[in-house]
Amino acid sequence: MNSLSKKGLILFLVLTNGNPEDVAAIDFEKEIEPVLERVCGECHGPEKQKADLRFDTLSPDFLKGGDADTWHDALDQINLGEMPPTKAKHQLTAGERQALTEWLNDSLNAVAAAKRNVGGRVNSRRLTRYEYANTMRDLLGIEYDFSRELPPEPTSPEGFLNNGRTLEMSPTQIETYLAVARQALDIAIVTGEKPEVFSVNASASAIGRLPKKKDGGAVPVNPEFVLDVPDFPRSGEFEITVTASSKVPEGHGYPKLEVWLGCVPGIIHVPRKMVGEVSVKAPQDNPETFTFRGRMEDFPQAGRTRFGKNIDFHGVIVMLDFFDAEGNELHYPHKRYVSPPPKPKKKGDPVPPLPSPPTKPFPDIEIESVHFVAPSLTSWPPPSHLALLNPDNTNYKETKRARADLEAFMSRAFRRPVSGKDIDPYLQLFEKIRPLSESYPEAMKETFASVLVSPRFLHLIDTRDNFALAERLSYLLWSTAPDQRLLTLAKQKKLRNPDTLADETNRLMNDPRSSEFINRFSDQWFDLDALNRVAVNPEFFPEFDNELKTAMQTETREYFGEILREDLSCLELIDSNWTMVNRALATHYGLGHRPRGPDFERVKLAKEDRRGGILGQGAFLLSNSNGEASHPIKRAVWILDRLLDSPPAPPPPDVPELDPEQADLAGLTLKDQLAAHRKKESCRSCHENIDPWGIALENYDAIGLFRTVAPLRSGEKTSRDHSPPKLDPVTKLPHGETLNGADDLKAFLLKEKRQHLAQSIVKRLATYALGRSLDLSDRETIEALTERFQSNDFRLRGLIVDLVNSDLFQHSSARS
Amino acid sequence: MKKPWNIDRRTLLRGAGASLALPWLEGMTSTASASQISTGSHLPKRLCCIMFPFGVAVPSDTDPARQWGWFPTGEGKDYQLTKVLKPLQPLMDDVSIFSGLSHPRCRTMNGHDTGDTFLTANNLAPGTYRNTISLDQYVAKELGEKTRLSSLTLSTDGGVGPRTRTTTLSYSEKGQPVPALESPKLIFQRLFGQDDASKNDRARLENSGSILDLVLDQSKSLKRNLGKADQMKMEEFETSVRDVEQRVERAQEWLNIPLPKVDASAISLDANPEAPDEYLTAMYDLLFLAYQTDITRISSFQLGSYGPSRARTFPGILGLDPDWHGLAHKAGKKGGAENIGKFDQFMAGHLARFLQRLKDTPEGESGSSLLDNTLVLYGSSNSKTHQNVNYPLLLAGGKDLGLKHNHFLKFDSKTPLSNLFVSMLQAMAIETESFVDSTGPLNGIS
Repeated sequence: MNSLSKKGLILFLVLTNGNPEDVAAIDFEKEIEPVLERVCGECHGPEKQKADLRFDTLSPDFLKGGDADTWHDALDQINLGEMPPTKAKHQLTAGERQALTEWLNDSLNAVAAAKRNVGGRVNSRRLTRYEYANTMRDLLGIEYDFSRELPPEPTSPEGFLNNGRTLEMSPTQIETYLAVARQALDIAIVTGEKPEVFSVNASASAIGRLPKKKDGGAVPVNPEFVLDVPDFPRSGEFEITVTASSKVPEGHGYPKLEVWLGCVPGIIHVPRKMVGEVSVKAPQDNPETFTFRGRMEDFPQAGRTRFGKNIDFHGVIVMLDFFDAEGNELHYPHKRYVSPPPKPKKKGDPVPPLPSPPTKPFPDIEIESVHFVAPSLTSWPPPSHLALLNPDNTNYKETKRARADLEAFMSRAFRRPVSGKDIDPYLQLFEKIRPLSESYPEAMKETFASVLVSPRFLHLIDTRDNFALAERLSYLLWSTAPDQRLLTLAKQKKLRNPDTLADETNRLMNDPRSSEFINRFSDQWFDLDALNRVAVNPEFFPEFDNELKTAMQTETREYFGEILREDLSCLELIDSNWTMVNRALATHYGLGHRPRGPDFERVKLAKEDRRGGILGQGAFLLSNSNGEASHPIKRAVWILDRLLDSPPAPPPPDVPELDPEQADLAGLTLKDQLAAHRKKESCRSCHENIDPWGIALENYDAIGLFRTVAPLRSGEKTSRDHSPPKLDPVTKLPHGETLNGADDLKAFLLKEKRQHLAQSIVKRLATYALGRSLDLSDRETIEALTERFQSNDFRLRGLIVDLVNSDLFQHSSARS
Repeated sequence: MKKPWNIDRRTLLRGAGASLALPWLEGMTSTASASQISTGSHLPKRLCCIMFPFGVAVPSDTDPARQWGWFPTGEGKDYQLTKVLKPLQPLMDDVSIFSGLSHPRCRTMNGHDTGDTFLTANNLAPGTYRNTISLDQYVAKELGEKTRLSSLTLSTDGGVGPRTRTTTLSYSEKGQPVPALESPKLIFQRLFGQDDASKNDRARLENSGSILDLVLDQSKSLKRNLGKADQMKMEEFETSVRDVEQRVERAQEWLNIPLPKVDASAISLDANPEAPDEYLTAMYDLLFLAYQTDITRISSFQLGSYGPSRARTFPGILGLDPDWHGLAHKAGKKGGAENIGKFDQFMAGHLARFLQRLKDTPEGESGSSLLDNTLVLYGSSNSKTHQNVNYPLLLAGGKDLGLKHNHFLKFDSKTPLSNLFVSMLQAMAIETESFVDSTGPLNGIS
């Protein structure tokens, strides 16, 4: 891969001996204080405290004063050229700047070194909800909704879910962990004889909506395919296989097949739940077979109580629904039926003529066969059972057998080898439980459950050894436990070798499981979850299909994934001539090129598509709207926070929302409302730095569509006399640059904000990889990584390898 | 780490009597001994909180569709129910209806986020969406120990759901959502789950103590090698484990107390939300049964969700557009009030049936009913959809707890809904002056 990264990265950390007095080379009172007073005092002094900052009251004692973080922020602002503002009256001389930054740097290094010895940092953490689910799935070898009852994680200040300090623990969670472990082990370990297998196969639909009479007409009817399953098990895994082909006219997308499982308890409702969906691309002479799986207990089943009076069928039904690539239900125009056949409006009227058959070609799906089987068993006992209770151990006496089964299970669950001493307490538990249990498997289920509630399973423990490194690496890139190869390397103590570690990091990135990193990291970095917190108002966007939200999330995830997989420059996050879309999303955007099906593909963008980069993506645009109108402030805050690592200070308490009904705002465009708002002294100092970033994107409406006219204001009706005002995305940044719309904004970011972007990406990645907030002592490594990242053309893969090889990730410097 | 197992304590607790199975439960608590139960001089005080999403139709008094508005016409004692709440007419001696109330701290939130805060009254913390304790769990802290289940949390979707769109109304003291149950069958098992099939559960409850002891020991030995901040995190873990241990011990105390015999044949335990009428009947039947048998005295029931929900299609049962959210959005359009009004009427019918059953069940010796000692809060956290003010709300029951009814009380928008919560807490004899942002008890109901 990246040849640079192979060499390993030597990151220097300026080590002081931790004594702050040693760095008193610069005299604060003589050299620093007067400068702060003269240059910064006007806005951050006794008179005004912009951004809630006042220098004359900050303690220059970084260790005891408690203001080190504020000083750190100040240093960042100075280094990035944000402060003092270019238009400010007082500027720093070159000498002052140097003295100030040197003093800040030295003091920060000293305090960082001192703090390292206090152990103020959370390095161990519990598994997140999704990590727990993945780990349980891989450990037990069953598909199950492990995290359903676990409370969602609180987000850290940086927007991450895996922060050791914010991850909490409660009695409810402990109870849930134990309950889930027991439920899952009841599935993974089986007792008794092989259950009866129910299997149904059909090549024709049990019922269709086609009327019996063939003289109907040509009104298209919706086809569906129904498979009756009269007898079925109430629990266990089922498998549905569908063999299908499609006929797709030139220029049409691939049709889509949805598979549902449900029952018929009443007349109106057919309770059902989707099992899965696929795009059918196979031509009619070469049909394709698709397999879908699920667990019976997760799907609606007919109860023993009857609801409908006329329903005799008490089984479950498999239903197939057909859609075109745009998501409209398929029709059967060629079948020339209507349902029901046309009738006269009143008696005596002539029978209406049959509609004429459509002449245009249409996509169609042909079902060859549908097969339902439950429980779906590859063997009895199933593989999950054999993996947990090794049949080779059955000849042993029970205690020895339990020890052997426990050793295998515990070393996988704890992600490191276990010793006899580690096993002892669990074996004692087994011996205590065994007399109360009906069988060996029942007693082992309970013993295994205790392993699954152990802190060694639930936590990533900062043991500072090779195994902890293997663990951290696999939870970073796969969100699950390390595989055998990583564990073997850890056991051989080879993992700290920079070349080996670089190879392994690349191996994990190349593995399909790295989609976990792509999805989780982009979800949290870009706050893609916010899409689900915005409700699109159907009165404003009646055509908007909520499934587009999922497509938008996938677009941004896949976009980030493409950058990782293809080792592209992260600057493509800002602008690019491609994106990742499926047919529905490309149609929503009105792109020139549309994929043929629901799968996401890389498509080339033309200038007139007006997309490119994350700022043109629906996920960003919609999630930072309110579901009705665009929200320039939200969009601006997102850019400043998530892309530029310069989040604006939170609004002061009790600020009112912009109320467009208010007298002085009525009748103004949104841009003018914001301008009026900025005139207020209390709002200006923050908002003049915020608003412009969002105004530049005003050409995109709430659901991310491009527009050139301003939206109607509240209460305003469309009128022929008034053509709506042309949208005006021209805005002026605090430093004086004028931006005319999204293209200018992107160009400005790429030209002027590279340093911010690089630092932001490095910090977000490191924060996620370490599972903790960054602190002062991380500063030097972060800076070194940022520098290399920039000189390496913003390549993400190289950055990840560098980070993994850094002292931060290896915890080699942070030994407490 | 060779600490001897703490066997004796548990063996003692288990006792020699015939043990009864109990499901493994969140919040299963009791410190009361068998003799204390239902022999006190005071009848049990109960609470049930029900919320539905998206609000209701609020047509103006001059609108021809006013009869499909949720709120009554008139005011005070001089009010008239519209068609929507008509099913409650026979019960109005036990019902108060309120307008104007809302949670002031939640007004600036997204209209769809307020399901989370209906019972907590707090703005979700920015960025983290951290919540605070809900009214029902607050009461459960005080009264929950008197019953086998400290509280019962139900919803049409079960689990906890995502933040801002949770599928539960209940939040723990730490502000964590309490998982809800949605399946009538599982709810029944949790309430009355002892039969031959659950022998396994019984054994497991007995094992739980030993498992938790082991987990604690593991944590202690692990902790020694960790940094200071990590140690504090492990202590949080241990505190949680110890708390669960106590719950297990209390649950084991209940083992010797027989569960009431309950005939389940009258309840459609197979009902699911895809068949709304049967499902709501079953859920309310189970709530009634839980109170009747004094398995719990506190419950919450979230009927639908502001996020994706199986209840979204409920209006389809009446032949309406099977999208509750869309229906709510169209409430102001022509014919829209009637559509959502019909659905709200359908739900009011189910509530009326539940209240009637409570009212028809005598309790104590002085002619009281279950309803007279039960507070039932019912409403939505939106007035019209997306509007976090003027919640449609009613409170039923609690005559013996000093509540006055049969009126429609209008409040100005300054009055926090928490004032009603304070009145409810005081009626339940929980000594409190305030709840979150309350300014005092609510005028006019006691």
